[in-house]
Amino acid sequence: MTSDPSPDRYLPLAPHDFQVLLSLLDRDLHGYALIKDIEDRTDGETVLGTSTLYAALKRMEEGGLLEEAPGLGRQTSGGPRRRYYRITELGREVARAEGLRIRRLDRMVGESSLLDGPGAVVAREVEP
Amino acid sequence: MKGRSPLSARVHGALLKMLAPSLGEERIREARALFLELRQDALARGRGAYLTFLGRELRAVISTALALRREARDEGEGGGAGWTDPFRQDLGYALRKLSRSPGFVTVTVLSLSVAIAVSTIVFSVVNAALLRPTPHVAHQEELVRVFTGTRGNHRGPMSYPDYRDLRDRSGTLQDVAAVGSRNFAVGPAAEGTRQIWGLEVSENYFQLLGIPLALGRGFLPEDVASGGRVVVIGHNTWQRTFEGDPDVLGKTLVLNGQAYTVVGVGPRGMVAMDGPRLLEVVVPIMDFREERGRWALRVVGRMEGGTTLPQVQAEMDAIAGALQEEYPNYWNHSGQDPTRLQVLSARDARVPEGAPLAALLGGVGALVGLIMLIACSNVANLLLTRAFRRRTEIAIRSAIGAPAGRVFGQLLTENLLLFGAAGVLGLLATWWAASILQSGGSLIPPPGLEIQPDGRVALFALCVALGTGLTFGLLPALNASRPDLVRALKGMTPVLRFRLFGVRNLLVGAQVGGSLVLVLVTLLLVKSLSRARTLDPGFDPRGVATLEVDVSHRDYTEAEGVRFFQDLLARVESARGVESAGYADWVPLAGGSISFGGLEPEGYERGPQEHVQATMAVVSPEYLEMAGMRLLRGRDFGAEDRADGPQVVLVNQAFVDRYWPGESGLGKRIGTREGKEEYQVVGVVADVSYRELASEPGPHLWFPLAQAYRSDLILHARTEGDPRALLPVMRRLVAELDPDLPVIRVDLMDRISANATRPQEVLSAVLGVVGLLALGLAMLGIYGVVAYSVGQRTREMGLRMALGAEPKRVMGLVLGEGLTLSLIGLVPGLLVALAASRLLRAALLGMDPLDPATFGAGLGIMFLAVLGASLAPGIRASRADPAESLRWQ
Repeated sequence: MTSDPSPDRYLPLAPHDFQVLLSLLDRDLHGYALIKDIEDRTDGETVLGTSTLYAALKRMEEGGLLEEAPGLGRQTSGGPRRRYYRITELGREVARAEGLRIRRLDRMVGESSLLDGPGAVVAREVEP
Repeated sequence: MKGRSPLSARVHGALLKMLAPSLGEERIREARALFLELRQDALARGRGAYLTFLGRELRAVISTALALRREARDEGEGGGAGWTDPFRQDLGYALRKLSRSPGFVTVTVLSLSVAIAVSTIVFSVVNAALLRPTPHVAHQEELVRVFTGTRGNHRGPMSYPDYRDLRDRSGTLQDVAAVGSRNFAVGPAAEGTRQIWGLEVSENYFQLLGIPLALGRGFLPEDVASGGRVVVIGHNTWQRTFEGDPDVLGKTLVLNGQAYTVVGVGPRGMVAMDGPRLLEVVVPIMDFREERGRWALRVVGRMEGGTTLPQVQAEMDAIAGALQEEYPNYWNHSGQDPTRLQVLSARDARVPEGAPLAALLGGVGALVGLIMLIACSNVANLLLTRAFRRRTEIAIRSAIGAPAGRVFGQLLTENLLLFGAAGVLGLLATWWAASILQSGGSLIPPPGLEIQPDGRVALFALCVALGTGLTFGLLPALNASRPDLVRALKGMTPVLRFRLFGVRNLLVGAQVGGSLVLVLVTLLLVKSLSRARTLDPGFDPRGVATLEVDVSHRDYTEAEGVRFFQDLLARVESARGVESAGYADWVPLAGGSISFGGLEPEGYERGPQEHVQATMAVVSPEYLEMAGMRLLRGRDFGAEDRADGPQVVLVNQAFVDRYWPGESGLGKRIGTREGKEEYQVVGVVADVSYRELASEPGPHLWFPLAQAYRSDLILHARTEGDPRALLPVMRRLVAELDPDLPVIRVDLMDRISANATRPQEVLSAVLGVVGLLALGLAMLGIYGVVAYSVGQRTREMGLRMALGAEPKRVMGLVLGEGLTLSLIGLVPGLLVALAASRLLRAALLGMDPLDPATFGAGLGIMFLAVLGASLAPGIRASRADPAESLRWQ
């Protein structure tokens, strides 16, 4: 769809989209495995709803960040064909760019006094 | 494995299609498959996980729909061609309009969805119990039930030899199967058993019904020839006991202390043919295959193609005639009441005869209709008010040329949207409530009843939502789409107001009347329950521990059984804390009953058609005293009543009053119609409520255990302390005597005998909730109308106060208006309540359905509710600043 090659155009990524891309970095997965993988990696903190997942997949598929993995789809008994998703080169670049962005953010948080003491956040809000 | 996806998945799919169509067909299909997989996972982790899952999915659908819409707007710059189509336009307008009155939307949608949920839940129970075809059974229209019929019982069971004759002689039925209910203690006694209900069936059961087994096979004649220790298990037993092992066939399941080989696994959701209870254990019939007197089996047949029910009935009449000739002792013993064979279609047979259940469900259905009416009148009123408030807006739209049809369509869209949302919410609530009911076990539905809402239930909810939406949405829409333009634009509409107010008055009247009915019926039930609790049941179940065993599970002979029971009793009596102990074969008020028919009380002239019968129990000596039953005259059973001694019986006072009025009853003889037995009355006992908690129990007999051996007995022990502490002790004492004898059940006597009032308790709890909801809705309705009318009359009120009327008087005016309003509904409501209470007579445990105190209290509650609802508008009116209100408009 898009011809703009710059990965920065997609930033910041929605957290769910980023999680999906992270899961797909090393292997192609279908929907069920994606949800489980994200749940495992985040220790159960992030559990995607099915519609959230498919909205993310639609968005990123249309944005060219991922594609259907050819040939991997298997017909499971009775159910519809399971589609496997694969990250594209662009997707990889976007994920990297997002990773770098988060790392920069992390550095900024570390350098600030944001997390210094338990009352720090509240105090800062009251100050001005 | 399942042909149809579960309701939650269908709702999820439908919501996605409706709210997020831009995902595309294929993704929605995939999402649905994924939903099913995740649902399985969540189910496996328990109910909490499942509910979390459902909540997450619902939130995800909504946030996805919103996100997709936002994206589409950002991209498409102002929508696209779609928004010019009038319906979409109406929808968009309606959504925007509604989102601006969240309070109105919340009240309408909530009250409607509660009403829809309540009626849909009731419908699901009826659906599961009576309407839904039995799952997994093929061609049910061909199935018939055959009963034995006598004057007293039209749906009697039959014996195995009778069944065999019927099967062999029938030409109109392709095949006939016999079914008996049995309780099984599952598991080795040493590991603690689990009590489960199951069936014993003739070998052809699965073939005849066409039940497709998930694994293995049904029964074969060879199974019976080789001892019949084979079992077909249900899905749950397979999953729980065998952990879903695919190699379960050939494994062993211990039932009632015997090892059975698993030969088959039933399909998921397999239920019994004649009652929608989940079926977990099915074994072949092995006992009493030759006893023609042992009538305990139910019979189902499959008709030959092209045969009609009357043809089958004609053939059964002929077979019954032949059996009466051949076995007069069993089929025609008195010569006056020959046993017939009665054929019913399997569908008709599911509705209980004489149907207290059907009457109860019908009554609840009617009451639920009431709450639907109340909620709908409420919403219709709100809609009317809203339409009325918007008359200026509508008039402007009409004046600048909007066709009347468009204005009408616009309003209808808005109303349908509201009802649609309520329908979806109501269905979700239903589904949620059903899963709670299901897991709640012994609540309203009989255990194992599959009340999971199906397509039929969803359709019902849809019809209710759409039907009420069209009726109650159309009326205000029609009313508002033809306003009197000139008056509306001037803001003066006295004529319209008056007419509109007439409709609203009637609606409020309907609400008040409906809630009065619900409140009165609930009060009646609650009062009858509390009265029943003070009724003397004739025994004292508190502080008694019970334990049930059946020594035939270990093939004891009668002599061995007697010795076992004696040893057990001696040990229990000497256990610490036990005051007294005894046996009985039946706990009063446990539900069900055992009767002895064909009695001939000495000196009693039986009418030609009269059938003398009494409920009966078999008890050991000292049981009566232990159970707190009172001997009025004569003696209790004792050691002198031996198996070979003269046969004796105890009767209750009701028996004496009925058959020997004015006499003591002692020394009288009771014969049986066949003349084989004769019992002498040695004592008279004060009446005991055995079958139901009523002020006047029927005739009852007690027989001594020594003269009426039972292999299945309930040991009772009264203790000074907490009877619960005795339960494990009793279990241990059984195990000491015979470690392999399964204990069928241990429980407290008062818990068992609470069974009798459980339906009433559940009913009054349900009605109580429904009644409160109705009352709340009605108050909301009254408040709405009174507040509205006060608002309309601000000027009048101000004028009155300016001219010197005291706030008190203004207050009285408003309250009086509320009360007048409610009168419209109170009178018809009272009449309906009178009729309804008569229908409920059976559930009232002998209380007068027209109890004046209850009716007084009900009216009082309504009066207070009406006053309460009019109070706020009254206060507002009486505090109004006259100058301010005169300036208004």
